[in-house]
Amino acid sequence: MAKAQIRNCVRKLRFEHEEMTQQELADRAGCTRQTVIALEQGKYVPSLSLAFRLARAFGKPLEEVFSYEE
Amino acid sequence: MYVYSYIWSEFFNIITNQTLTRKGTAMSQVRHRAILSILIWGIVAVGFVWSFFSGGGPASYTYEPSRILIGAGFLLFGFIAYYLSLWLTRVKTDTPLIRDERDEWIALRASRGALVFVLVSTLVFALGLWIVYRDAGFVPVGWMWFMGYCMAIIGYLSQAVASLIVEVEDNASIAE
Repeated sequence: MAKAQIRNCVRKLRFEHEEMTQQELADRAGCTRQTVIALEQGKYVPSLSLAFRLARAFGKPLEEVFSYEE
Repeated sequence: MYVYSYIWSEFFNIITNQTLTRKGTAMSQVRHRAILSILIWGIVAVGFVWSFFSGGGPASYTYEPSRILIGAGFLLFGFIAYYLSLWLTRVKTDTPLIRDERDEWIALRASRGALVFVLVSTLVFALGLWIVYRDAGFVPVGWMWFMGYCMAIIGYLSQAVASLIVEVEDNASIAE
């Protein structure tokens, strides 16, 4: 899988949200735990739809969860 | 006796996706379908090759309707079992999520690999026939049946094998 240019702070936000587990986040965002792991490791770039669902799971706007780096 | 019952229970667990990983999650739909597909199309491949080569091979294949029927029967079994397995492994609302967009991405990559494999297989097989029969000036028509059936079987088999490889590799790369 290509290295992501889109960075995320999912892992940091999980710990800020009462150490939410990967499975809990996956359940809230409607994806699998493996996808959350891949996201945290920067090995998968989510679709816009999943990105919004993840941001919503943290109660944050999209740009506070994801950032684009050139 | 214990070994047989262990093997059978593991086989049953794979078929019904009861195998739980150490993390307590069900097998992904991509992996489950790939395993079932390999089993189904493996049976079809063995059955068709047996029906094709038993009793004369390509030279007499088209003159024996019983062998054509047996071969077609195996292919029909493959299609019915395959689409039944897709229905049985569909995403259900009352079970843990077993497929998401990343699995779609894995399946897409596997399909690309399988397509290339089928195309190359067809080319290699056609070239092989040309090399073997160019002096004779004709190719027994039985080989056309063989190529047609085999490409259908190889298409499904290679898709399943590629899915399994990509899925296992991807999940190994993110293993903690």
